[in-house]
Amino acid sequence: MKQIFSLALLAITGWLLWSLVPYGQATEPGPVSSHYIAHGLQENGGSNLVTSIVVNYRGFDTLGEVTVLFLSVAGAGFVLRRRSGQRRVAPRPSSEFVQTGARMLFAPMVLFGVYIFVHGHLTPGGGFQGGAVIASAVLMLLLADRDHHLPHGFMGWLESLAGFGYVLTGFLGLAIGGSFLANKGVLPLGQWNRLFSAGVIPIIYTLVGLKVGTELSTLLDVMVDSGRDHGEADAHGQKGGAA
Amino acid sequence: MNGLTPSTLYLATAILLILMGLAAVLVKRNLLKMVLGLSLVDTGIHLLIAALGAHPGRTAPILDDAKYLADPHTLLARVNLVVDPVPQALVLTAIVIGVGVTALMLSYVVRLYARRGSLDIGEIGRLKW
Amino acid sequence: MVNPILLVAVPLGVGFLLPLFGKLGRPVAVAVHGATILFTTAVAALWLPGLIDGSTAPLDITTGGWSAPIGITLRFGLPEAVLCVLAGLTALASLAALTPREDAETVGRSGLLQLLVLTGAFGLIMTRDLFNLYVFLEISSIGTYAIVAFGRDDSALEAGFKYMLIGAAASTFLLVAIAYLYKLTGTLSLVNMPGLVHTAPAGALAIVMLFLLAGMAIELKLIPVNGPALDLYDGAEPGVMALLTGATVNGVLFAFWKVSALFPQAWYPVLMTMGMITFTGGNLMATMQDRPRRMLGYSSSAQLGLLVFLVPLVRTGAVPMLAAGLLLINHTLAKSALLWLAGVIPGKTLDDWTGAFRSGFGGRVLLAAGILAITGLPPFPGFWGKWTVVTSLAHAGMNGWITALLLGSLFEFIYYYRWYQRVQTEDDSRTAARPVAGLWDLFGPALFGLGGLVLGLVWTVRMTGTPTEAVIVIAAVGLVLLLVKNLPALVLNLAGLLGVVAAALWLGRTGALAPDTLPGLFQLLILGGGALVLLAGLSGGSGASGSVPGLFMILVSSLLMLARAETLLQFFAGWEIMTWSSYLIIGHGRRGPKPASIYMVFSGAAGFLVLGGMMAAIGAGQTTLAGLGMLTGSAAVWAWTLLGLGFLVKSAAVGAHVWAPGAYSESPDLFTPFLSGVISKIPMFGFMVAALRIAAGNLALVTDGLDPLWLLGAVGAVTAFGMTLLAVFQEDAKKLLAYSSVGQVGYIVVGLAILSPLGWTAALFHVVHHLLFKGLLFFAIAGVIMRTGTRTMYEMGGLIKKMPLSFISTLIGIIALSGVPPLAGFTGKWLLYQALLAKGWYFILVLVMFASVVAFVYLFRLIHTVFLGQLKPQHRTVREVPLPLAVTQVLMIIGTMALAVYPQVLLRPLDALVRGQFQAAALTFDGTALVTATGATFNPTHMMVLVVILFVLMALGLLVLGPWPRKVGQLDIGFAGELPPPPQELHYAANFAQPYRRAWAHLVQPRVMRFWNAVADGGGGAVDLLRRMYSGNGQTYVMYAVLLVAVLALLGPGR
Repeated sequence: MKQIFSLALLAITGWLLWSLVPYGQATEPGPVSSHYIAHGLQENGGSNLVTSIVVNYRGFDTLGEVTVLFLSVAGAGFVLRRRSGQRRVAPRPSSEFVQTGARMLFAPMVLFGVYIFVHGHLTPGGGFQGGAVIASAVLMLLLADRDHHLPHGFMGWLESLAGFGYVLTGFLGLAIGGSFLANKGVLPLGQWNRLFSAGVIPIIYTLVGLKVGTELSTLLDVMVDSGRDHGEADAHGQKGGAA
Repeated sequence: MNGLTPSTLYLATAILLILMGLAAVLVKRNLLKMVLGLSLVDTGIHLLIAALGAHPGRTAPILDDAKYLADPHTLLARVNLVVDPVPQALVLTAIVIGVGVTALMLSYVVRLYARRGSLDIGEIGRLKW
Repeated sequence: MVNPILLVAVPLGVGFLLPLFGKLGRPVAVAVHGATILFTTAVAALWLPGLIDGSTAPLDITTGGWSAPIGITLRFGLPEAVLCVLAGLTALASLAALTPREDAETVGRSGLLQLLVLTGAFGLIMTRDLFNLYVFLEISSIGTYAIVAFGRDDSALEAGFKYMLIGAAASTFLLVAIAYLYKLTGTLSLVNMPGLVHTAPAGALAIVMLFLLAGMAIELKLIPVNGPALDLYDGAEPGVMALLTGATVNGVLFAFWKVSALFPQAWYPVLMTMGMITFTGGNLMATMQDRPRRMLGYSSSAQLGLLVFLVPLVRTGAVPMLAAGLLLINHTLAKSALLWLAGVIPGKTLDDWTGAFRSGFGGRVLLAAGILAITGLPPFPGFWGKWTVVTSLAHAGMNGWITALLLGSLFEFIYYYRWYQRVQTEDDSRTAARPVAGLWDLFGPALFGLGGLVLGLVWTVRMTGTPTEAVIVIAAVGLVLLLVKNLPALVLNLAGLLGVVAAALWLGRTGALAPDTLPGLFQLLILGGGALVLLAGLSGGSGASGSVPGLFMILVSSLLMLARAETLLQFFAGWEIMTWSSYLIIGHGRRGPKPASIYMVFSGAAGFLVLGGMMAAIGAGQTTLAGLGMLTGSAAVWAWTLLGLGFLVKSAAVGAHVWAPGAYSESPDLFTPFLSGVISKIPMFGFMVAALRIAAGNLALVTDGLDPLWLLGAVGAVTAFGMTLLAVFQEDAKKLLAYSSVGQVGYIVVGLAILSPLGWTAALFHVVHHLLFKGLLFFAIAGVIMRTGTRTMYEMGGLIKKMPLSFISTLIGIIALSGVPPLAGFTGKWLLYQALLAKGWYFILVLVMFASVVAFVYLFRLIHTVFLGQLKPQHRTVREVPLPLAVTQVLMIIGTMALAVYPQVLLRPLDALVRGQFQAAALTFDGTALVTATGATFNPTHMMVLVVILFVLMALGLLVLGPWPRKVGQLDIGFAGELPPPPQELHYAANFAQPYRRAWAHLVQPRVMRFWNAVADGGGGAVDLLRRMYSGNGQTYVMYAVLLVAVLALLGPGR
């Protein structure tokens, strides 16, 4: 009964959303996006306009975005903190295929991730995308070797310093360009379509890529880890697969 | 309605995804399925935002071809060649936020399951009134 | 000045590094964390002075090098600076409160989350970009989701998950709205979007705004989508909730303020309705709570609703932003303080709060301050905010909204003071388990309490002008006494007495105490009554030690403020301070907490009625007491009705009398004389300076239909009559006097209602005389209770030999009260009867005369049962009262006798006073005789002489003619006609009035009490049903979110 009522209410929401469809048709870009398209290349030097927006015009959003990820990783760690007295059990090892394949693919995948974020200002992709690829590589490793432990110390340093570096770059913009996260004037904008162009954008995207990669990896590690813990700790007979 | 434009198609798909996701949240009792439903909603929203920037016949806002530089005096000419980049930037941010929320939700589910031994939403209603 | 972008950038940078600092050890991490908060708070605070005095312009901050709308901009003006400072201070105090509470698992981990929550709030407050606002909203939300997992309680997990579910729904709605707003306006900047949004097609805008509102409503915890937030308050660590209140909630609210610029005006009624439903409904449902933490959740939701209600009004300029700001600051300070204190009490139910903070310094004072502040009482900022809001609404003629607002505020009284009642209740069985607030727990409450007090006092001066020095001196002495409350009673009361005397001399020199003016007369009464109470307090005893003397000084200062008031605001501010200070004192009685909370709820109702009446006047353009006389038409009718009802409730007139017996009898014994003698007269003062001014100035009101003045007089007479009947059946000496006091005030109401020179003379004469004789009786009984330890009359007896002075006091008191010659009671009654006769109100006259006769029945018992008869064995060692109390009684006896022998000492100034009011004389004085305008004559002095002569003759006659008196032992049964105790039930005085009960039983059934109980039960049942909508099921909560969308679609302005 409640479900039918809920769905009826949902139908109203759907009807509202559908009523908006006519207003969502293709239109000419407004003044703000026209500015980005027309002047983005001159003002930021990166040919990927989305990146220019993400890192410079709306760079403050991106800093917030990095914070969101940082916060949710810290939050997940906080929520899944180990209860005292919980024992860990050895998980069932994965198959030979997975193990070998993961080791083989790990390095190329990380490399690919780095490629994506380093070229974020030129080609589709950027720090978040590259970081996600790196994290997928780590996930593969974790799945292959379920007792695998990430070098937490190293990753922690990398994560913290990358984040701090981002804020520091923002301060450089404030000191030189007069505005937090400013690009203009901090570094030369370089030549069109070159790797070393677009001022601080590649630097920021590299830092973001490192940060996102390490953060997502840590997140996966935390969750895999807690899954192991709770498989045994929960008293309801649902064993975590240990034979 | 103004015929079946590509935008309409994208938007309709987006709305369908959102409604499916919300329906899962409203009807399914399993916590994991509810989280899954919210992920679906997220995807729908992302598609919706991207669809609002869509423009048939125009390409991605990456000015990596010499044709964009052909006539530096009419910068505005570029505007007719590529789609609006802003929704794409927004989607990127929205995706990351969605990931963060989903991760945290799943962490909660893990902890709740460990504590209460159930994944039923009806079982986590001790606080009320 | 430092760029405020650092408020976001620095905590983020530090936050990213905090895990590394953590490796250096926990103290390092906490120190870095604290230093970061201090730095950001200081950066924001440095901007404050310039922004307040206008010498600094609000700053627009660019990011990425681009100004709006190309880049994201932030703004830092006065509201932003205030909110950031508040958020920073809350975060600092929360760090102090939470750090010691971290357990082994969370240690060092929550700090980062706290810092990021703060950063999210800063961003939310400053940003001027719609999508950026969404990002910071998510940072704040995710921070909330994460940090509520603090602590071991797994109900926090449950609450957190539900909160995430509905938060996800909110994000969905918001993103849809934001995406379409971008599509429709081509911008995301809140700098230019409000100007563009109106160019969008109306059909699209209606739906987009609907989603925006639904999303914000969830974030703002409005009804019906506040369920998860309530669970969060219920389940999460209170210290965490304090942080969220001071930082995140305010940030969200300010974010709403910013996006509200996008709403077309057609949406404003919807916003106001949702806000007010949340305020009134939230407070209503909170009244059914038995878990204080959840109650605070309802309260937060309600307060937020009030601010949401104000948003459209501030936008249209109907309400000044400053008023909303004061309410917000007040809520932040008070609610955070209450939450930090709640964190000290581990249990969640009301029972766990029994006697909380009894030991340890400051906890209870801070809790009381927080509750006073949050219920909007002066001098805290919330009072001034609420007053400004209500006056603005009155100017706009929005009387329905005022009613809803005041109703919600009254509900707030009910649950907050019930909570405090539990705290005040002592239960010795719980002493061992009682937690003590640590230094760090009190840091935040003390900081915020002090902040609220200072801000409130600044506003007091701003709104009501600098009070006269005497008021300041007395209030200052009171505050100091509260701080040194552990000193002996002698010192406390002596200091208070010196303060009062100094103030009296000061005021006397300025001529403010002239008894021929109303304010002068009442100031004299207040200072005189206050001095007598403090004098008696030198002897120690109930109500003379601890924080009572300090509170008493504050009470006296508020009464002076009230008596000196010229504007309505001054009067009301004094009135409300009087209410809470007397409430706190009553709660100090041994069984005082419960009657005190009932007293507070009725006083709250009275206060809101008075406020409503004032608003009727202010809506008609009158802001001073004198201006009330110029009201006409419906404004006059409303002002008269509401003010009159308020004063009647506060004076415990029949129907509202149920609060009085408990409050009088359970208040500290030495305070009761003041309660009866002075405070019960304040509503009478209100009648004279406010309500009756309307009637006097508005003859249409008097001549139209049923004479309202006659109605008022009838209420007074019925009160006098009914209370007398009730007094007859009391076994408890103080309850007896309590009913008697309420009844006596009824006579005064009758006198005032006559609205003639003679009627007012009678009323004012009785005001003074009642202070003297009822004070005397209460002091005498206080002494008896102090010595015998009981208030039940039949447990006493034969005290005449042990306490002769108390006997004489009681004897004189009851003779004065009963109105028989030769004491001044007769003079008073004579004046009143003459006035009634002249007015032609015969029904009232009969009622009053009958009541006055019946009074003998109870008065007789007081003297007979307590002082005559057989001395109880356990009272053989009883001594006379201590010297200060004896001196007090002697002084009052002298006063009573003086009035009896030569009432002109009072009647002449009263005559001048009345002449000033009515431009007509009530009496002429012929030698020692009084002559009324109708020619009736009475000579009190001659009568006294006559009576003395008669008595002397009779005594001589007895001595000469009668048998010589024979001494009989007190245990001689034949003498007293009673059985020796036990059993006490057989005592002849037990159930003494049984025969009368048979006759009057149907008259004195506790119908009124039953009525109020039925109101409470019936209302409670309905509310209980209502709050069950919060079923606890997360899915249902999400359904409410979808329901909200549907309701807005069907009822909103879009369709």
